[in-house]
Amino acid sequence: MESSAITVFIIDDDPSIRKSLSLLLSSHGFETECYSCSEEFLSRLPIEGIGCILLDLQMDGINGLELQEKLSQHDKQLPIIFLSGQGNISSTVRALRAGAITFLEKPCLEDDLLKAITEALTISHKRATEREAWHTARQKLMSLSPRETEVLKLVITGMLNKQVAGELNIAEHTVKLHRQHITEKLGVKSVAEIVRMTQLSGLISIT
Amino acid sequence: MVRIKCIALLISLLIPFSGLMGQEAYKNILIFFGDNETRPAYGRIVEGIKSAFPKGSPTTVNVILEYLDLERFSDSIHLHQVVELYNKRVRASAIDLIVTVAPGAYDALNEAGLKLLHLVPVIALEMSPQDPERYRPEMRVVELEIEWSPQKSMMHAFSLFPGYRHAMIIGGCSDSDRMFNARLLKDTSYFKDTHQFTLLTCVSIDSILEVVSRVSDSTLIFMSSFITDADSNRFSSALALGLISSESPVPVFTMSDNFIDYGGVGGHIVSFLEVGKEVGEIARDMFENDTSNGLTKISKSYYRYQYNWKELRKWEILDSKVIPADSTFFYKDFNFLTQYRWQIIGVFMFILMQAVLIYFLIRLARRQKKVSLQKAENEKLYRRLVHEDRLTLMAQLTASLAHELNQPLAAILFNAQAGLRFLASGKLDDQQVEAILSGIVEDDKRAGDIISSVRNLMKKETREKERVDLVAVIKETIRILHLDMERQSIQVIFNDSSEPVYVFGDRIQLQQVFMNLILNAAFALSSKEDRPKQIYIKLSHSNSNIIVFFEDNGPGIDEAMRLKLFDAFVTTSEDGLGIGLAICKSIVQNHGGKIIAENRPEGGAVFSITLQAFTNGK
Repeated sequence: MESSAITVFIIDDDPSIRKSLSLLLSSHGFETECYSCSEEFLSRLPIEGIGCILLDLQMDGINGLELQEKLSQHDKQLPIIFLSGQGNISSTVRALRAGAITFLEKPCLEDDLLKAITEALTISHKRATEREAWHTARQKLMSLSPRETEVLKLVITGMLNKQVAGELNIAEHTVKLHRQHITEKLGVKSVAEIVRMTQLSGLISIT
Repeated sequence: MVRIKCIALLISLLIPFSGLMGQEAYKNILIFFGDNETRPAYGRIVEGIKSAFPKGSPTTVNVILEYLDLERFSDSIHLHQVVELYNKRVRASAIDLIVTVAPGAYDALNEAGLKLLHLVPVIALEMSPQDPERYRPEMRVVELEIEWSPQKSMMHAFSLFPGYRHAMIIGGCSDSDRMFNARLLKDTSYFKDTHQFTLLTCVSIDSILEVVSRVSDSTLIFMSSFITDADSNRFSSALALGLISSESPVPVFTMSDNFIDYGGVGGHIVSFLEVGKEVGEIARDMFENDTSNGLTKISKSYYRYQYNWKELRKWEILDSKVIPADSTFFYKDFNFLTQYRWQIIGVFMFILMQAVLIYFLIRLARRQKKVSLQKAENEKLYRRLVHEDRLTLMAQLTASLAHELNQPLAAILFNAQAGLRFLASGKLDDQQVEAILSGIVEDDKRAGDIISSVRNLMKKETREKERVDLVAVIKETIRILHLDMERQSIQVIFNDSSEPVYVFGDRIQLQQVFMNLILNAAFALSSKEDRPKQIYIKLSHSNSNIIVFFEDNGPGIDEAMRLKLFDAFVTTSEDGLGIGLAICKSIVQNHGGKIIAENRPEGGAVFSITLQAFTNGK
């Protein structure tokens, strides 16, 4: 995960902003990709890895806020930092409510920009990690056999082996065997871990 | 005494001869008058003769006057002395023409044996027919008989005073008086049925004046000759007339023009002036063509309409219809105003017209001054409004322009910070320095451009018109408005031709017009819910005209609003003063163009501005 590229996407209709911003970020060791409009960026999707978006508010065609809305429908959403020369309160509120990291006014200070980018990348990283964990949990849970899944559903409710055997009309010994297979397949040691993984995957509802 | 005078006269007439005899064009006319110089008719005749030889005519005449005074010196001694004097002392060659003037001059001289009568051409003036036998065959004589018809004068006098039914004839007592009296009396017969005549002849002057002073109102007095009265007091007719007319409450008429000077009314009377002129003409003809030969008899009328203007005024008959238009009026010149009435009126009218003209010129000048002041005032106001409008536009755009300026500032900052970062990490290479610095330069220029275009728009002073590229102006306008349009999610689409299109005008004012129209379209689009919000700018140009269209896909213009759209203070916007479109119209008109607002068939408004294309010739 650490090895995959960290990219800052710059979307601004002003070429000199794109150029200078990209230069500044590269001086800090970031990879950048520049887009002159929202449409161009959308055609580039999907994007793997960690990164963030520096987004201009006002652009011809799809503007910054509209792009933010469109991106929120994608699962691998990158954090967005708005960068505008003409921020007003209503658009700032709208952007932040829709999940933007922050709203910077041009010309902005280098520190503020880096702070925002760092925050965004942290979030991006966290999201990527979570997504990875979820993905893993799902894969593992999907590898269970139907009978094992049935056992798991009862185990996470806190039932003892005997109770599970009674519920499923199978021998307690058989339940024990299934539980062993489950912990092996999911790579966990305790029931608590099984519960967390199940929750993470969102596949099985816990009543 | 009379003799002495005659000799003196002779001497005086001899003097010019000595030096001037040789000149053929110099003629001596010797005039013999039957009576003495107190007869006014004589003066008129002499005046008439002289007038026939005006200064500069080929013949110069010297007129010698000899008065025989036959009535006073009835013993003929004076006559004979005169004749003897001429017979002895005056050679025929010294005299070129003899004129004898009635009454009785020719006969008297002939009887007294004046030799000159046979040697020199003679013009005999008579007032009654004469016996042709009195002339000898060798004589060169022109006999001019002057018509003497008192009835003509009386007739005219009565027609001048139609209500007057009485007439009084006044005359003297001498032989010639009696002769003239008789002639008048004879002619009264023409009026015996219409008028009543009273004869007052051969009476003492006192009695005459007494009667005249009490004469009835509707009486006319006819004056005959008056040399002596019944008491043998000698008068001249002129003196008698003067006395009588000053006493008379009624008009006094005479038979000839010679009395006009002394109080006669005038009328249809004999003009002795004309007689004199005739004599002069005959004389000149004789001198110049040498036509005198034998006897020539001429009988002629010299009746003319002549009036004493003062008398006409006195008797209030100036406007009488019986006075012919071509009559002669004497003494009229005393009344300057009347004499030169038309000239005076003309001069007055001229002065008046001049005055009126001057008045109007002054007024015109004043009004022009006022108008030009007003114009200057309007111009000032107009300029202020135009400027005001620009300030309003700029105020609307402040936020966008600040942002517009923020872009290059941000870019500069990013570049500079990148430079510092690379420097700190020791990774700065030439390529990066070049990229950073050229970026900074470019953005700095851009910021400068924005500031200068804003400053141009804010400037108040007027600029000279110049060749302006409309494409460049439109592009700059779009650039200034760019962010504002972006903020409102409006697309401004300009089908930009890279070819410049020139007009002759004020770049800033044209930009102001375009700005107004774009912002106006943007305002119209603000009420539009759906996308896209678009403004199209299109240029079309022929050889002479350029049309710029500003179209939008907004709701269009309300038809009621459309007609007064370009009036000042008409607005639907709350921000504006409502002078924007009015200013646009003024500016466009000031550029010799026109601006029209219409609705597009597919919806939305279109404003079109037509301007004249700039060609090198203009």
